[in-house]
Formats: sequence, C-alpha cells, structure tokens
Amino acid sequence: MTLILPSALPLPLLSTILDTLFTNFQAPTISLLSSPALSTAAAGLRSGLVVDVGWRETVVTSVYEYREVQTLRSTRATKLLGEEILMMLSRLINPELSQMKNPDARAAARELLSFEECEEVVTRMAWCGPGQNKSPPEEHTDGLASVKEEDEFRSSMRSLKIWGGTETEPQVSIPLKSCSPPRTLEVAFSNLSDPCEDALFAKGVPESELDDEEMPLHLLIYRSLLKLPTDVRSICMARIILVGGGSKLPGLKSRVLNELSTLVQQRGWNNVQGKAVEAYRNNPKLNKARSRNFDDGPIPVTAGQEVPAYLQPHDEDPIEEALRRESRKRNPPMEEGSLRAIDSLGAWSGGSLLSHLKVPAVSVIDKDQWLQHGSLGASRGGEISVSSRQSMGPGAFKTAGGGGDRSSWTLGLWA
Amino acid sequence: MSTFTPYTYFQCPCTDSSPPVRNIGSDSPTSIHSSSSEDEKAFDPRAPRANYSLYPLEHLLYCEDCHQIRCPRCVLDEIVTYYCPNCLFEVPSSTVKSEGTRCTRSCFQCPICIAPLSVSSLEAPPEGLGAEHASQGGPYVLNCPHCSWSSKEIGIQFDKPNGIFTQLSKIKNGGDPVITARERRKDREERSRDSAPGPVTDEDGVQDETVVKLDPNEVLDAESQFSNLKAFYQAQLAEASPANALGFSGGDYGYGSPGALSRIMGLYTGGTYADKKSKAKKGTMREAQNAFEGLKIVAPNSEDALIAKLQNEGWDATSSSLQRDEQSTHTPFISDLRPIAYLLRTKRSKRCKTCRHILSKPEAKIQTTRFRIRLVALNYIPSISIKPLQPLLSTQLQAPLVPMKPTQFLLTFKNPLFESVKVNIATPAQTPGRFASKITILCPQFEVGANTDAWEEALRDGSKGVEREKRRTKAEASEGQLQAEAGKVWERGRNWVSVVVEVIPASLKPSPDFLKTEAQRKLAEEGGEDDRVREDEDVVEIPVFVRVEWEADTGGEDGGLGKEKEGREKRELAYWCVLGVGRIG
Repeated sequence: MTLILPSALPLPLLSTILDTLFTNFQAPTISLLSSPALSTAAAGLRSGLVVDVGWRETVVTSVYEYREVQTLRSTRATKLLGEEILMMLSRLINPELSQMKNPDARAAARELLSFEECEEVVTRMAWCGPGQNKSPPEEHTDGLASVKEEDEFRSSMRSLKIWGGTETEPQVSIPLKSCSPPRTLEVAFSNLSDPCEDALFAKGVPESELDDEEMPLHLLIYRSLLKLPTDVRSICMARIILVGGGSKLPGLKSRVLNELSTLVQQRGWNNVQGKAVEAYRNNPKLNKARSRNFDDGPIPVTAGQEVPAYLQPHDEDPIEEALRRESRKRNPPMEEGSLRAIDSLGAWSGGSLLSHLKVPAVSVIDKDQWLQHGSLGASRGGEISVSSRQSMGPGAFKTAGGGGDRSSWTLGLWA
Repeated sequence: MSTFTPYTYFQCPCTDSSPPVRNIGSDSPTSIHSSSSEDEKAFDPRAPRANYSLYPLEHLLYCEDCHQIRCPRCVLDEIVTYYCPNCLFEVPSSTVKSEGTRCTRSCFQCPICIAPLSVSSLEAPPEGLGAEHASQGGPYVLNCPHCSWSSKEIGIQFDKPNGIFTQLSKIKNGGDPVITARERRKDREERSRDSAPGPVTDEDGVQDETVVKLDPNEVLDAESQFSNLKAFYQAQLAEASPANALGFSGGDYGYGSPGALSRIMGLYTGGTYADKKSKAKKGTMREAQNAFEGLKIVAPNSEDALIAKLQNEGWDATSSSLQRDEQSTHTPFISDLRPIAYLLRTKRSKRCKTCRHILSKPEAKIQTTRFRIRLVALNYIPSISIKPLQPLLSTQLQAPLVPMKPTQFLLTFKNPLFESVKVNIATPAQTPGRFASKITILCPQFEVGANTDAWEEALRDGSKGVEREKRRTKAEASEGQLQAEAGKVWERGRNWVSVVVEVIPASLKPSPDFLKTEAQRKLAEEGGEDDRVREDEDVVEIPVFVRVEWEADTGGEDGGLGKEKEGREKRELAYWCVLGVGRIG
C-alpha cells in the first residue's frame, strides 16, 4: 500500500493514519511518498517548482533532484476564490450588499446562496484573465499607472479576439436555484474573472499591505524562486508545475507565467525593492555621480565598469568547461533559465507510476513492526529533530528499503 | 416541526477495547484516569465518539464463537466476487487488477444523467416481410433512454454492437482515433532505431519529430501521458542498470542505480560528493525531453480557446460538478464527457476480527441474493421497541414531550432465542448532557419467554389464554388510570415482555443558578455555556445497560444428539443501548 502525503504532515496525524490502515485494512506494508516529489515525477522531471493550488492554501514547493528544497504557503487558494465568487453573485442578486460592511455582507451572502451552488459556479464559469501585461512592457521605469491597467487589460483581451471585436461585453446567464426565488443571473463574462483577480492575485492591494501568508500566487512563486540558490532557481523556473484543483481554472497557468515574467523583468532577481531602490536604479545622476567618484579615485576605472560585475562575462574556467563537456556527453542539455510551465499528471498518478515501476520508497513500514513499536521504532539519523531534513541522515537511507533487510525502518521526512 | 420516531441503538463493545485517545487540550493525567474508569461510568450517548459505536440492531452481526456483538467496525471484509451491476457478469479478480474496476463489456452509463445506455443502430429499422429476422447493420451509437443523449453528440460511432468498451477506448471525442499504447511503443522503437547514436536527441531533432506525428500544440491526454512517462521511466531504468532489470543493483542500491528515482520518497539524504561521483559513473536518469517521453509543456496561450469557448457557449455547455465527478479526466465541457463504464460491485463476506470466524457469507453466484452464512444480531439479542404508554391520537403522535411532566413509555423486549432469557436493565437516574431528564425503570428485572414455535404455543395455552392475559392487564391499567406498578411487568406475551419507563423530561430553559448542581456550574464556567439549545439537544436519549442471561446448549452446533449429555451452559451478554424516546417541546 502506498500513501501519498503532503510533506508537512505532523507525526501524530501520520501515526493515526498508519494505525488505522494497519489495524482496519490489514495492509502488510505501507510506503510513504511525498506529494510534491511525485508531482514532479509525474511530469517526467527531476526538479521543478510545484505550485499546489489547493482548497485552503496554495503551497509552493521547490523540488530539486527529487528533494524538497523549500516550501512557501499562502491562503490564496480555491476557498478564497469561492468566497469572492459568492460575494460577486450575491451583490448581483442583492445590490444592497455592496453598501454593507464586509463581514456583514459576507454573512448575508451566505444566506443568499448555498455553498454547493457557489462551488458549481466556480468550477463551471470562473476563469482567469491574462493579466494586464500580455506583452511585457519595454520600459518599466516609472512603474505602471494603475489607471492604465484596465485599458491595457481590455485591449489585450481584444487582441486575443476573445470579445470577437464587438464593443459590448458578452453576457452569460447563470441559473441559480438555491436563492429564493430561483433566478437566472445575467453576468458580464469579464466579471467572472474578477473574483480570481481578487482572490488569487490580490489585485489592487499593494504588496506592502500583504501578510506573508496571503501572498498572491505570482508573488509567492517569485519569492520562492528568489530564495533558491541560483542554479536551483534556473532549473526550477523552467519547470513550474501547477497542480491541485485550482490549477484547473482556465487561464490560470498562462496568467501566472505572465505575471512572473513581468515581475522578473521589473525586479530582476533582487531581493531589495521599493521606491528607494527604484529611484536609485533609475536615477542617472546617481549612477553618474558614482562613476565620477570612481574616476576621481587614484585608480582610473575603465569604461567597462559601467557594466555591473554580475553581468560581465565570466573568465574561462578550464575545469568547469571540462565538467560541462563531460556531462553534455551523457545528458542532453537541461532547459534552464527561462520561464516555462509543465503539466503534471498529479501526485496520485505519480504514485501509481512509481508502483508500476516497482520503485521502492525510502520509508517502507512493516505492519508488525509498526504495531509493535509505533512511531518510536523508526530509526532516525542523528538526534530527534523537528526539522525533517536533519532526520533523514545517510544512516536512515542506508537502512531503508535496502534489499530484504528491514530490521530497522524510517518514517523518512515525516519522522 | 420535524417528526420524531423513537429509536433504539445498540453500542458495539468493540469501541471499549480501542486504545484510549488522549484528548487534545485536556491534560493527560485526568483523561487517563477517566478512561480507566470508563467501565463504571455510564455510557454517554452524546459523547463525540458515541456516534461511531451506536448502530441499529439490524446493522449488527453476532459472533457465535466469541459470543459478542460485531459491528461494521470490528469485522473484516473479504471480497467474494466482483461483478458488473448492469450485465451481472462476474469479473475475475485478476482481470480487475489488470483492467481496472470497470465493466469492460458494453455496459455504460449516460454521462449526463447516469441512466444505463443502450446500443442502437443508426440505420432505419428494416421494414417489410421478415423484418424481425433481418439484422440491423451500420454504425451503432450509445443512446440514453432517459435524457435521449446519444454518443453521436460527442461524435462517437461504433462499427460493432458489442465490445463497446474496447471500441470506445480507441476513439476520442469527435471521432479521431486514439493512439494506443501499442502504437506509441512501436513508434518509439522506430524512433530509437532512427536515432542510432543513442536515444538522446538534440533539441532541434526532437522538435522536428514532434511535428511529424503530433502538432506542436497537441496536448497529451492523461492516459497517453501516463503511458509515455511509464515507458520513458522503464527505458531509463533498464538503460541505467542493464544487469538487473528490476532496478536493483546489488549493494549499491539507491545511490548508483538510477533507481535513484527511488530517492523520490523522501530523500533528504544529503547528496554527498561521493554520491555524485558514483552517479557520474553510471549515468543519472535524465528528465523527459518531449511529448514522446511524457513531457507536457504548457503553451502560453493554450487556455485561450477554452476561455473563448466558455464565453461563447456559456453555462449550458459546461458540465456540472456531478457529471465531472463521474469522469476519469478533467472535463470542463459537456462535449468532453464520455460514456461512463459501469463500476464493478462486490459481494463480500465478513469475518470476526478477533476469532476470524465467518459471520456473513453471500452466495457466490451473482444472480442470487441469498446468504450461505449470516449471523445477524437480530437472531441473538432481544430487540427493544419503544412506544408511549398512553394511547395517543394520531394527531398527537408526534407531539413533543412536555417538560417536567412525567411521561411513560413501554419498552418491549422481544426474544429471538429458543431459550427463555433473564433480562436486567439499568439506567442512570438522569440522562447525561446539559438537560438532564429523570428516568425511572419500573421493572428492571424480568424474564422473557423462549421463541418457541408459534403453533406450539397456541396449542398449549390456546390463543385465548394470551388474549385473556392481555385483557386483564388492560383492565388493570384502566382501573389504575394507567398507573404502572413498580416491580411488575406491564404486559407479557409468548416471547416478549413490556416494561414501563417513566421519563420526566427536563426543561430546556436554563435552570436558575441556585438550582444548578456543582457539576453543571463547573461545566458552565468551563464551556462558556450559552443558553441556546444546540442541534438535537432536545432529544431525550436514555442510555440503558442491558444484561441478558440464558442457558444454552454447550455443543449447540453438534445437533440435537448431545443435548442431554453435554448439559447446559449459562451465557451472559451485556451491552449498552440508547433509546431515543422523543423531543422535548
């Protein structure tokens, strides 16, 4: 039996699950697999940035060579999207709601429509616009005027021929049964993408207002990439894997990519940002002043100094060159450095794939051993630690899954 | 006002033996203490866990070897047969493993309304002489008799009227043929022969090849992506360790072999330098490079068409979430839906978890609904039914209980055994919970007659006797203004006995503070008790502890011969029940 678990599942929960499975389902052994790693495998990749748009939270996990490197979370996920859709629909049913205060309006909206009906609308009609920057702007020096955004959005829509050239927005009708009396709402089609803007991309909220756990998707991914070491980042950014129910939202994938490329263009891979940095970077005087300062110095600076060090061509490194040649002989070049999204079959299919291939898991738990010792019987590399990473020392790997000897076993990263 | 029917639930004792679960939040010493004294404590039907141990008698089984009630939680299920509920064909379990749990013949459900689909010919029925003998030819479609959906709507037609499953698996919606796994494999082999230097092709070559067979925007569907990926991984595994097809490479297991995939699980192994070195020797598994290997790159505008379709066709073209749930892949539109092959059903036998004896075993033949072995608790345990003592008018039937007004109920114990049983019942003086109703059982100890043959009974006493008895008790009752006498059985029949329980329903208004007991006050302080009545708190549920004693043949299964010799054995069974008597109005 194979269990596919999120990598942050707490140990008490895990041991309850294992207890139940062993006592009630009589599984002889249970293998534990982590879902982001499987999502990567189910996309045919070894590394990737797995963005799991779930119900309660969106989890961005970077996987490098099947190892989870880091995880970031945000509450912007399908649940929030559902709530926004509910608000939009109920405002259409009862315009008075828009005058009410937010908590009151939400409570009232819940009375208006049933959850199931709202979910139905989310799954059937919600979509995600391509964002304001269909083609990333050439110059981004003075920031984007928020007034322009809507226009640009529309023009990009028109360029997509989604509106078929007509000026009037097309309407779609949504039959609602759970409100009383039942009615059919006429909604402008573009309105149906607004909740997604609010819920998943935090439109209109400046970044500084946002908490760490409510980052919009594109920022979350950007931050996650930013935290990674450069080489891992270059590999992960070319392998963005969107999974989870929310990723089925039409247009979401391309939107995320668009937003990301805009962000990267605007900020580069620089952790420091804000008005001061912007002003500093864009202030020609400042740059000039600095170079003049250098000029004044005793050592004359060459013109090449204007190119920052990280942009200058590297010196030839014979060893690295040799290594690269060696690796090229064996492996085809890896796609890296560009933004690219990959479709995955998802963690469960990944688990099925691996069981087809008879790949043993690191953490294989035997029924008798579990019932005898419980979670205490698991061998841990080194000391017992909260961090899963430390708990999987080389020792644990040696003992795990090897041949027939399973005298000691491990809970892997869940220990 | 919702109607209320009195109910009786039996607690399966298996929950007692389950390890005590520490309550999160409560300090462990007290909870351990309380769990140890669980036996003495009265069973609380409102405890959160009680829901999982209470069953109607009809749902329970009885293990003859353990002499214990067995609930669905303490039996083991074993699958006897798999079968299709539509064509009632048995499917061998090996086929289930290889082909999946769906009917692989011609049984399909309508993707719109899940009614069974029928195969019909598109040709007009033949007319004239001998029409009934002429077979209809031509393309066939699946038709829904309920909503008149037809597979023609998704562009699917069949050449033959049978074996629809295999035919359907070769056709995409719209009529294009599916590239089957075998074709893909053949294609793969050809390609690997073409690119002789190695399976590794450079980027450009790959692009060209992709164009040859699939257009660049062609998106692999889930099945083909899966099969491509599987083939790719298999090839990689084999390539990496040709010596051992299984992917194990001796002692170096895990590190050297690109069974390095195995590292997936968990793998925070700390990739050491040595690791890399050994990997470098054998060559790592590479990533999938193109669609043939299962890689599926999201094209930047791939979803635009989807949005445009959503916008143009609107709500009616999309599939409902119910319809999607039945599909194996993501199907946003009605036109993506496919006929649903029937899910197989099973017949299961049940074993006692402790002694592994079979408690219930259905006939293996699918057409029969009989059981070979069926030890239902109904045949071993006295059933309990509740009705109000006062004859109620039909309009009053659902009348709620009046707070603080003593109400009497008749509990009728009916004995299914062929021996007479002694029954002891006990209840706590008050129902547990916030609103404590007072309960008094007027006759806690009585004997219920054996479930002998009804005719035997009739012949022995004459049916008049029973009736006379009944009448007498009735008369008594009317004289005493329906006053039940303490310590006496209310009514008695051949194999049943009725006793009276008096309930004084609690008032649902919170009692004034000075009347509250110590415990209640404490509870109120802890829980920040609000005065509102929570869901179903107004239902009076009486926990009753029932002890049944009877004398049974020791070698009951050996047949009648040994009866006298082996003597009789005293049996005892004790369990908690919960009686739901009514709602407080």
